[in-house]
Amino acid sequence: MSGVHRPVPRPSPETVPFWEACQQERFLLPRCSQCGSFWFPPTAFCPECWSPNWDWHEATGLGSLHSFVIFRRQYHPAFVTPYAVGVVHLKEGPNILGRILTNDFEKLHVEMPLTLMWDRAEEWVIPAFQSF
Amino acid sequence: MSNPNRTLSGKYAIVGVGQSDLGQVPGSSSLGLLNEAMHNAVNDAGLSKPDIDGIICRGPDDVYTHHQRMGELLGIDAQFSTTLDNGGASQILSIILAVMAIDAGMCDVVLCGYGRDSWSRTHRDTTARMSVPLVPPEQERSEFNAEMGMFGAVGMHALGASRHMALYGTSKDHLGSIAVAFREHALRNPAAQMKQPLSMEKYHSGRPIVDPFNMYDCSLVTDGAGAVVVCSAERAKDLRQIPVLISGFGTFNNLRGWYYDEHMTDTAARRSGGKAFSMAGIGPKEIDTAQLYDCFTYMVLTQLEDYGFCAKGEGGPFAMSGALGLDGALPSNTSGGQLSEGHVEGMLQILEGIRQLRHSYGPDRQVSDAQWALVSGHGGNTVCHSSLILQRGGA
Ligand SMILES: [Zn+2]
Repeated sequence: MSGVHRPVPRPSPETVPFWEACQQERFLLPRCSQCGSFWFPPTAFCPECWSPNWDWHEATGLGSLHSFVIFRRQYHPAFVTPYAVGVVHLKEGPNILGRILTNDFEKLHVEMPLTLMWDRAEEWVIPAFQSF
Repeated sequence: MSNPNRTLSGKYAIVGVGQSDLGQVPGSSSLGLLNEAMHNAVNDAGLSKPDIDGIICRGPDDVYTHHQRMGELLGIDAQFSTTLDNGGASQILSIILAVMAIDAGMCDVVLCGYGRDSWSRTHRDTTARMSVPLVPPEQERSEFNAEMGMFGAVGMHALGASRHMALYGTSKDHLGSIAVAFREHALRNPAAQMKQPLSMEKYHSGRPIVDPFNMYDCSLVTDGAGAVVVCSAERAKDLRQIPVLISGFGTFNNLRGWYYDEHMTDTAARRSGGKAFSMAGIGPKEIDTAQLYDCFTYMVLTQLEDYGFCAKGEGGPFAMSGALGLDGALPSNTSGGQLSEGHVEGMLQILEGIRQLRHSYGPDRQVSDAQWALVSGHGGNTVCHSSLILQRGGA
């Protein structure tokens, strides 16, 4: 697949620290210092209580599968079909999108436990998930 | 939760409808298609250019200040005009906003419409189908999307279908029954893009797109436009057509996103519809025909539940029962919908609701004695929803 490039993130100022941590295989979520809630994607204010006071918290990477789909039609030359994409309900609370790395699609089911792994694309390290 | 002002119920009417050529219209442009539809709507109303003093539209995503371009083409300086940004929910929202603007004394007669050259722009040459995106890349999410392999509205909506299947036992047969029912409607509509019958067997053999959706779960790529004229019910009495009264409307937008909480399976249609029913003073049982935003089969299924036509989780069995057919409990998307007539982001659903209430059709297509229609709009990033309840006006 030489010459075919995977789409890569174009971070916003608020998400740069998240992606920098991913490079070191650390999975950080913003956690509010005032109300304690976690959220994703990272933003300047807590979306629950609007507090500007929060810190980066290293998350467990554990979660369950909220929903998933399997791409059969090829939308991008770098994503060879079939492949699975899911929304993962993280143990800390937020729901996030990620690839579900498996070739055994029959075993995928909503609410199955998942754990974080790292998907390397171009110069990027991108969070993905696998069966736990 | 606030509800729209009931004193507005039935105070305004849709008095003209128009559409452009539909389907594959080589050489068409988005603005040209909408211009044609708007001309047709004004003519249908028996009005003329000097009567129009408001324009509300939603343009193709890549045309800046779309309403200004339309006013230029139509040769109209408007007392009120703007362009909306709620995706497929914009088209009903334009009618809601027209009512609000007229009631506030901002203007008197408003043209609302939408058009797009979606087929032409993706079929200019043999590579355009893959290389020309319907949403310009700079408007896509810049992260947490494509780098994870997520592409297009189809992936987002398939996530909803997948979760609904897991929670409620919804099946591919259930989704298929919606595609099959709407294709049957389309075969009675000479303007529809799809001309071939669709059996359940053929549905199941459809080319896979994003599981659980195959090609028949997905709406069409269409060149086309539609437009309507809105004015007071009082003024409508003197006009050419049987007025169709705007009896109820509502909006709700699940802005926290499709991934948040249970937004995939408990959609914004529920609260949007609740407002519309409250304003109209009726419930789902009074609706004679529904024209539901069918970008994908699943959106019909969940809206049947969210609007209260059946209980949550019962959308599949309800559709399988034959309810959506012309003689069913809830004849729906009777022009074939976006799945089989053509996808103009909900505009054709508004036109079909109006035509059914005007009793425009012969017995082969007419919902018998239709008095009330529900029309829905859904879109943006899968989270915006608008609802419209229409009533046949006095002869
Ligand atoms: Zn907080």
